[in-house]
Amino acid sequence: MGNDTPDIVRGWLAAERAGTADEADRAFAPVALALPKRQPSRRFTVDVMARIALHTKPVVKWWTWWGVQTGVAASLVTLGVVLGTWSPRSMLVTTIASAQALVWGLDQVVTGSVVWIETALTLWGGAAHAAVVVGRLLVTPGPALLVGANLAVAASACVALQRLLAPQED
Amino acid sequence: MKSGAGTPTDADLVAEALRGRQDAFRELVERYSHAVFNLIARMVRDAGVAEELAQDAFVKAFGALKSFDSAYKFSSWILRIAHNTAIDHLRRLRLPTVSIDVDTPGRDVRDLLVDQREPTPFAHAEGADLARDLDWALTQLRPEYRRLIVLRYQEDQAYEEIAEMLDLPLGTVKSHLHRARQELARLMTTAGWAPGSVPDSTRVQPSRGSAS
Repeated sequence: MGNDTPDIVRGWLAAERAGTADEADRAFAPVALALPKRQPSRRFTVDVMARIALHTKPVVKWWTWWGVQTGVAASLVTLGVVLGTWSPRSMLVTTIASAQALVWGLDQVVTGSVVWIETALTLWGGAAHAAVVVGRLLVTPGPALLVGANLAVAASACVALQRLLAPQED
Repeated sequence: MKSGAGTPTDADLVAEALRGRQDAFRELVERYSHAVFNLIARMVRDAGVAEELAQDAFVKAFGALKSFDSAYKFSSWILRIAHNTAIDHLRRLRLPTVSIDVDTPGRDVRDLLVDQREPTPFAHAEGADLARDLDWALTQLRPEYRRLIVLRYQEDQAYEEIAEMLDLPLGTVKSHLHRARQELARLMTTAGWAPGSVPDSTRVQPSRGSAS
């Protein structure tokens, strides 16, 4: 045994025995080619990509949606028809009328917003004023005692009423 | 890294993958699935677990693709992720460092020692014995040494790349590789590969030539 040792193995073992690290490193490289490599399954790549797909959300490009594409196409067709059929004068008149309508609409929106804010402020201002008045009344001793006495009488009346009704229910 | 005419480089594929092209990442998986799987399988010594962990490594790589610096080799980066994934698994299991492969009950030892699906250049000659014995010797090494042999001689990584990959000083990598090779040489001598030597009959490994 050992007489038919391949030269590459013989050379490597000799280099290791000699303790020359660099030479042994070079000598072992061809021997290491004999080492079998472990192989993954045939489905490995498919399984990896499936797992990645589970963890990633598809990138949705809004311009690829058919509704957007149809809308853009319809707009272009409409624009083409308008440019091809209307006279310059009627286009000018229509453009001015559209601009006027747009400005008027914007004015209405601004006016409405201002009114809404004023109303809200008025309502909140009234509520805040009432709260201040009631608060001031309550922090003085007389009204506070009166409210406390009222609450005590109401509570006593409730308890008494419950006691009176209890035997009748039995 | 591949850079032949018409073949995109790893950096190109990473850039494409970052733009959302999953086909580009698929190509990277195709390129490195064998290296990643081989490294992990050598470390954990269980094909099923290795498959799962190798998939984990690629999924992690995909998630961290933005952090990849194209100034470095993709192969080193993905192998580092694979190595760390395997180490995490081994730490969780606290696997013993002594080889148990050859004692697995109910399986032919030759199935464990030599991968039948990929014949090596030596497989059809006397080299089949060499492949089997070398494989056996590799399984006997400490995991720390085994990973170094795989990275250096099976994945062609430079000393510096291995040092960076494993966060080890360059000197440590060199000295560990030296010891790993010395241990392999001792085991191969025990197996009867030294000129004029006689195989040790007490070891579990089938003697030279008996498995063919």
